[in-house]
Amino acid sequence: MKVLHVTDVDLPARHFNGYDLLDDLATRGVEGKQAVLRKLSDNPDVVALFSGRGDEELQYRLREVERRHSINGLLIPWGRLLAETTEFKNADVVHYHLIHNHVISLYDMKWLFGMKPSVWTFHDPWPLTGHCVHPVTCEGWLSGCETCPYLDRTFPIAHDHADRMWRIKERVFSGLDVDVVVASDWMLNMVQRSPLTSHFEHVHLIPFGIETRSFVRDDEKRASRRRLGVPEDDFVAFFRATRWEFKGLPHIIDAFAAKPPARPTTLLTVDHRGLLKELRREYRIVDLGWVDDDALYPLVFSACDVFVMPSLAEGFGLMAVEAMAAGRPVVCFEGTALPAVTHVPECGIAVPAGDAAALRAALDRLAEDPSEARRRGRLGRDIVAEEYGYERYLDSMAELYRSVLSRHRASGT
Amino acid sequence: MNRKGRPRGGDRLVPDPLTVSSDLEGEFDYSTPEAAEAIRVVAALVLEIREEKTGPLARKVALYERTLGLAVIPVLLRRAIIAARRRSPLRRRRTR
Repeated sequence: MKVLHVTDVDLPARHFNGYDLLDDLATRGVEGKQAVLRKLSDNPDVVALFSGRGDEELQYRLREVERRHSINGLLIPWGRLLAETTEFKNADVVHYHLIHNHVISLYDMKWLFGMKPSVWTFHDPWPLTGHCVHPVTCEGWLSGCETCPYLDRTFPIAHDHADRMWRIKERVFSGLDVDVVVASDWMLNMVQRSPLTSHFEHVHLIPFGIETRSFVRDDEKRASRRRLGVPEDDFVAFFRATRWEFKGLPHIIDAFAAKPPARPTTLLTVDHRGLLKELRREYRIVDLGWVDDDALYPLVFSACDVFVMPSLAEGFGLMAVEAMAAGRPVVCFEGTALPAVTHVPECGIAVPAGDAAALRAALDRLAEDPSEARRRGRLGRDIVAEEYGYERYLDSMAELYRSVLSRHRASGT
Repeated sequence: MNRKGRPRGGDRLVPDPLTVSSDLEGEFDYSTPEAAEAIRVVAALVLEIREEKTGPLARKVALYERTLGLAVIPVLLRRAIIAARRRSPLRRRRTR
């Protein structure tokens, strides 16, 4: 069986944009290809729709027009090129991933999805809203996004056309023949509640899986800390330092800035450097910057005592699962996929969204009671083995493709 | 129409529903069936322009502009200025 994965770019987000499935599903009889706008790898199984700088230029201009007219994902012509590729024509099933990053026009979906049995992974709630990627606490998406109070959220719009975009999605999604994949109960619940998608008959809950073996490094905590320049006896909190509005960094800063730590504490971060200047006096900061090397993440998780992920919006939370696989407790906010993914309250710890004092209290509790951190860490590892193993994920995806194809063949479509 | 009886490029490339000027930027309703059809037409035209093998990029950009109602001239100007600075002997001496 041949499956074509469609997304914006191949290597970033490779764990969940289909790239890793190209090779990893081969043993299950699924031959994978990937079609992307921009190709960064030299993988012969990946085909680029962009053919040069002229296409980058065109994409920039199309996005500029969309920005000026407060629309999103309408003027993109790449779906037509996709349909002309050999990879598309030869595919038995087409799996769409991050297509809302200006890959496929909403207006092209019906005919494109009608040409091949199609699977679409909802990585976030964008398909359910009039413009934003994450509605967070706003419930306008349940009733047509009539008046949008958050025009500057990703993807920002100048004029309030969220209701029009919502209506476009309503018209496009009615009668759309697609199998939808979500990775968490939280996303499944949103899909079932949305007037845009509640009629979809085939919605599959398939959590992402990870290779757990590389994260099991219990005996290497001290060695990992030495390699990363982290003091061996500090309490170490690891988190992602990013300005992205939904990842909650200001709440981490507020939590740690509220009072000095009771014991020496190191803040270990990845992504952006230099965002914790106000904490330098009381804490040791180890900013690793953007980490491209996947092999480094097990080392980072093994060096920490707790993983902090106070996202205000999260459709799954792969890093939280990696922390659990490494045997580290996860502290998060309520109101996203994370509490269910991390099995709060038995394993993960969730505090009210935006409550920096509660976040600090949870971290202090783990710093003062290492045995609780270890207990939650062990439980997390068991949960990952049970629910988020990579082999299980591969089995589920292969089974999904087979069932989609056989259903379409049986119905003659 | 041109001398061969074909529509002029400008007429051909600008479908009515998308001939937007700056004062219409917030007003045009892209959710109507007519707009959906116009967008399909424009997407096809954009790909047609893209696939033209001849002519400089500036000509293609001009066609995009007419097709999409884009104000691209400031972008081109900025690029020309940057390119001119790169070629400038003065700049070379400074960087050495």
